[in-house]
Amino acid sequence: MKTDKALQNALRRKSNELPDGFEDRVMRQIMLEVERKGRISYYRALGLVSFVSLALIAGVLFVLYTYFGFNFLDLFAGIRMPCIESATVLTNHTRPILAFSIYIAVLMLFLLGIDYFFRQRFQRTKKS
Amino acid sequence: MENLTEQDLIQSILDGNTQSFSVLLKRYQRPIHALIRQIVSNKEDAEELTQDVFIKAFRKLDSFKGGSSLSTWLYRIAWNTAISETRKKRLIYPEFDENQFANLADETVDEVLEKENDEAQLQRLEQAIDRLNPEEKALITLYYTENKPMAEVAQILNLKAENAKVKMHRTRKKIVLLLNNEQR
Repeated sequence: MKTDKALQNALRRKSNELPDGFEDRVMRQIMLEVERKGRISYYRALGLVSFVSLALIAGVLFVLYTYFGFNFLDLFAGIRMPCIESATVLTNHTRPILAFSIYIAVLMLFLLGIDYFFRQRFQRTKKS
Repeated sequence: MENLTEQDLIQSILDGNTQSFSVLLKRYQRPIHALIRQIVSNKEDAEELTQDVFIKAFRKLDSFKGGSSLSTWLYRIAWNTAISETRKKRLIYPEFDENQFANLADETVDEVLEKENDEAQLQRLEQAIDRLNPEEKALITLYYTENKPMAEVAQILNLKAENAKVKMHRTRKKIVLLLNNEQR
């Protein structure tokens, strides 16, 4: 093949300069990629652990039921939940307790909401 | 760290030393960008695609088995990334029939592409290159500016070595045909 000087010169005319900071930009993306890989492997491990745990529990239940004749339905049938009727609950005596409980529940939800909001804000500022 | 061999560099990155990737980036960013810039023409797109190439390379580094050199592997990623981008644009490239190729003597092609040209002629030559299809652009860029042997060029573009040689021969002729067409 010939050296084709004219062709080489023409090809080299096109500017091939990368902007300043290109390397930093790519390395920032690479760091984000590392974080993403870390998150993916964490969730994979979590999924695997959950699956193995559930499989073990299922295995134990199967062995108990098949080889030891342990019947779980009988066990649950023996448990009785206390029966509360609304008429007996909402008396003058219990009403303030119910209101207080609702107040505490709403307050907790509100505080959890604030906590979530500030956590998100903190994470965003940390990232940027 | 700059003196690390390719294999040590890859191992270091795979071991979690992410900063080693900057060495790889320094080594290959210019040639990878040169190839992409020639294929996609647009400066901003070329920068964006070069960045994509290195991110893809980082993601797939554990799948690099050393069957080829690291540079060949990176060029292959660059070629695939750039060709996907050009396919989206559905551009139409000029084609010539077999008779036109056959009627053009090799000596004429050698003469046109070999001689030191003046500014105006270089500009026309540059325009002719811009009108080539992406594969032809990649062929001549890898061969003439990156000085890759034809076997490696073929490997990068996923062609058989013989096929790559034929395409190179036709590309050189096509450039001259484009120049002649423009002069008429």
